[in-house]
Amino acid sequence: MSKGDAAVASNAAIAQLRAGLGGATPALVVVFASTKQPLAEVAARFEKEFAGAVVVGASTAGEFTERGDAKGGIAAIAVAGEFRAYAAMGVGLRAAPEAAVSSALASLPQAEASHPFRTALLLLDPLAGNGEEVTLMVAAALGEQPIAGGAAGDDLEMTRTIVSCGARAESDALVVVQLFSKEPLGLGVCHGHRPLSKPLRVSRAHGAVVEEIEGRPAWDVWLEQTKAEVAPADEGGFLLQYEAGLASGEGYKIRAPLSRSGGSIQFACGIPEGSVIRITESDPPSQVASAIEAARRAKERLGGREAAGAIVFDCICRNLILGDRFVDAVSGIAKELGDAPIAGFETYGEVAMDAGDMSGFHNTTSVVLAFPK
Amino acid sequence: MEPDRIPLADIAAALSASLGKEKAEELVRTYAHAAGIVGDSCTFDEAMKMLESMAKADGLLGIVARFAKARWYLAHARPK
Repeated sequence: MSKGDAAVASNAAIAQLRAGLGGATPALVVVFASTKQPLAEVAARFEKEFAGAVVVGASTAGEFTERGDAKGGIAAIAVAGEFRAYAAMGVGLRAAPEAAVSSALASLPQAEASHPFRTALLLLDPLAGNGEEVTLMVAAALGEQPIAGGAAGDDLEMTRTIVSCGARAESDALVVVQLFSKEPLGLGVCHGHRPLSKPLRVSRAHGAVVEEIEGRPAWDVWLEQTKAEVAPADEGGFLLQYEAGLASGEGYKIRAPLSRSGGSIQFACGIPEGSVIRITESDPPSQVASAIEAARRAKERLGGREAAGAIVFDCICRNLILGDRFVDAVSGIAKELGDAPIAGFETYGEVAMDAGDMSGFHNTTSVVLAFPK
Repeated sequence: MEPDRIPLADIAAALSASLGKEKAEELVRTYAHAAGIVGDSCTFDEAMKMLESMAKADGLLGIVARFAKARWYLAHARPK
């Protein structure tokens, strides 16, 4: 993890990766960059340095490794060993998500005979407002395989989130990595939120914009139920602390409100009119415990093999709730994985979908993708 | 219930992961009624037709229904 200007931070992160690789050639390099480190510039530097590897990335709302968390920096991880990686980008996500997904997947292989296990990595622009839709489209096209990933951030500016593939960095885009391995990867997911409000019916909505709840402006209902007074500059953080929960099976699927316009609230994916939501909350201990639980589940899926490292997609809300204690969640994840190296970013949405799952876009959730030794 | 019949609650459960339990149950009730399905279960073909109708909807519902139909077909289809 590195800070400084983009050149300094990139070079420092590259040097750390090189030291960790010990001369090995990576199949995949994933880089997470704050808006203070322009992803286009960072991605180009990594692409040049790791020619031959697949290099992908996302802008963030915070970055972390097993050494700690940061704002304004770069976190990166390189995956070397018995892996084959392929990646592609699709653009125009907001206006034509199906075309964007098709475009991204068209060039990706479906199988590698020598590497029978496949896992997809999905990075997307959440401000397109269709995270769940895009995740389902990717899952439908790829068939039954695990998918992990995250929605890019922009340090809570809520204006422009970016993903990269090779040296190309774009907003309104998605990036899909198809990763083939000789052993299964471990995917773990968990959140620590619980309902704060009674069930509330969305009475007017279109796409990802909820205009009214119970016949009243959505923003008014959010303030009333949380008993909060919020300064305009703090609205993004406020909304990401009090997200919407959809009853689903035994738990709640969390949906992230990202911003407001008048009385309406923009979400990271579609919320159909007539949906019943609960506004949710969480306390710091639950946030730390759920992050560690996600790591435990990922490790369990490795089937007894040790973790060589992990990529972590962690909702920005955890940092907002935990503040200085966020590092406890990060170190808890690394410790649960046997102090393996990790790199991750604070997202505006998380992707975790296993074979047979019916939904894969999450919010307020920790997603841990562990790689076996 | 006959062994090959599918509980409508199972179809709602498949949709609830994306839409929430209450909205999913409401949609299944509405589409089942429109399809003339009586009772709390249906045949496999009726379930597929119901999901096909939902799949024509715009936005998230249509996408969720198309996805659920594909997964359900893989999970439940029997050779004829």
